[in-house]
Amino acid sequence: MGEIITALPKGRLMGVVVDILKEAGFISRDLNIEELSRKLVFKDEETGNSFLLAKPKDVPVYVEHGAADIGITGKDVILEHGKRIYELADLEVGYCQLVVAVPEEKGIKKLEEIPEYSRVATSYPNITREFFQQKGIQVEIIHLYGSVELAPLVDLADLIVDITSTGTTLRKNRLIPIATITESTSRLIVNSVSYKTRYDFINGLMARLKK
Amino acid sequence: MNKKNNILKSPTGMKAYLPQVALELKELEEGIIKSFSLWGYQPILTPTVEYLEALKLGMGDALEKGLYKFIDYEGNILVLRPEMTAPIARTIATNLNELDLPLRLSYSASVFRYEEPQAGKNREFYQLGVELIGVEDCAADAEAIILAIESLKKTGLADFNLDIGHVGFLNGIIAELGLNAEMEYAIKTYFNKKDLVGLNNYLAELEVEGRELLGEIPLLRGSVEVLEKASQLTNNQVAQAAIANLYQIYSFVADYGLQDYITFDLGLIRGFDYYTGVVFEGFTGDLGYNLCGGGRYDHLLERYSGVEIPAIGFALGLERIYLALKRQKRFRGQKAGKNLIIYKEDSARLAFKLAGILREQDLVTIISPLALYKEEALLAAKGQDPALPEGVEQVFYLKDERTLLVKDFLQERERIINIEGTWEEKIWEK
Repeated sequence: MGEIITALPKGRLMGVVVDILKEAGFISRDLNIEELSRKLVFKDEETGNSFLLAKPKDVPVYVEHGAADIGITGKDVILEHGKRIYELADLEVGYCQLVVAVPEEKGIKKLEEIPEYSRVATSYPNITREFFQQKGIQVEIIHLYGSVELAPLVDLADLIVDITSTGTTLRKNRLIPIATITESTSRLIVNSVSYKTRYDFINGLMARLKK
Repeated sequence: MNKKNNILKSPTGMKAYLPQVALELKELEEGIIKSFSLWGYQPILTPTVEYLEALKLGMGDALEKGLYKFIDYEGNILVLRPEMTAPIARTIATNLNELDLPLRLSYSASVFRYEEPQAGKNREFYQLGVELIGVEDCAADAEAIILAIESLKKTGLADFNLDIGHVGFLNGIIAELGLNAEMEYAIKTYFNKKDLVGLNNYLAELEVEGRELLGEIPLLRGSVEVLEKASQLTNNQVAQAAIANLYQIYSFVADYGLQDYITFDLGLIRGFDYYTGVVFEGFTGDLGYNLCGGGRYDHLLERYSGVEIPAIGFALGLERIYLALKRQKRFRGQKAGKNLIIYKEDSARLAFKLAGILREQDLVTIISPLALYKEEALLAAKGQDPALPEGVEQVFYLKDERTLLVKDFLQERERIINIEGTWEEKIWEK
């Protein structure tokens, strides 16, 4: 059996995820993450594992197609992509909520008060569409790739759906969360075939992560 | 949207294969069909389109999202077949009076599924498969599994494995715990997606005694010893019968000497309500997707015929096997060398006769008038490139009514045959 290829999420979660994997003996302790975060692919000579650094939203794509055997990314990303991947463990880090937030001056306190055909800015169009469909509220979705809070300020949207961990950014932009769509933490995801061909290895990793 | 952009394109997810790949895919397909037919499976052809109601009756609502639908002139909703098992079940169930069970059927067909485009998956793909209809015995279960392994082996594929599960095990435990339909659906959704985090979170909030049992099932994967472990978890009769069934299958597969190709996975259920017994999936480390899948479906035909008719079958993905073989560098093409006959206008009659003789011997033969080639090139010395069509190994050049020049590029040999009188035998002379 060849080496295991892991897709790691670049950005704010990377440090804490690498620490967990070091703790589990999956990455050798003396690897310098600062240095690594500039690379795209690297091999840990000590453990023999290879890593690729991808945007969190791309991690499920690498894993679904088997370009990486396993990956770590947020539950929010997994839900949004709806990829056919196996979700095996909750790393219990990177906690955030996906919320519906409305500008303070609109005075909307509940979902039911959202007017029909409101414009919702989000970088999670699939989750947002499904959520409002389930609630029976008809909205127009505006798909943005980031800085979603900006949209209501310039009247591009009436409300937003975005992730928040502490609520600071929302408060700064005078946005009030009125509903939580889902909560999210970082998950260990696995390619459906790698799960089988690397079963013992992956099971071992899961056991060490749970400790 | 600019409609003109579509003129030169295949529809999204639909693919054309140019001759070189198409030939290899055809060879691979023929090889697999040959394996099926050597086991006594006979071909069946069914329509490319089915009525939506007919398919839904067989497959449930689950697949409807992924169907290509359109409406005919009478207002009926038609669908492009997303797989072959339900169409075959419908066909057999409605023609029972003309058929003797058991039936061994095979197919090779393109199927259509509306996959999300970003998934990079084809929306039309080729499936080969078999259905063994009318036998409930575990020998039939084993036959399907053995045939799946054998037909994959015959393609030259290495390092592949089949995961084998049984829906009866999970069903038995769900019944034992007294879970309602809603809970059953939720739990099976987690099992289908192999979402262990979701499953454990769900179980943590489920106020049912013995719920931890469900959390252990996904971990029951491995060689035959796993069955022993599984058997100790429960006394439920349905679950125990499932384990007994798997033991019997294992014993058949071992008798065939193929036990190294199988792994048991009691967390494998493959969908919601289609399968009733053993289920299996094949895969190789060289490809991130399954190569094949199948299982026992004892109630599907009943939905069409009203009579219970047990059945088992599986489907192989032609393009996936091809891709895996290419990645393993194990594709065995038998590229047949081509013969090319070139003639001057007045010797067409002789050229046709010669072509007939060669084709009679199953030799691929192309004929072409000289006007399309440069004579100097044909007469070129050994080793010089005569700019011939790809794959041509031998050229027969009818220079005039008396002279046939034969150039063999493989052996780098040339000879001249006098074609006055009887000459037919001379072309075989070495």
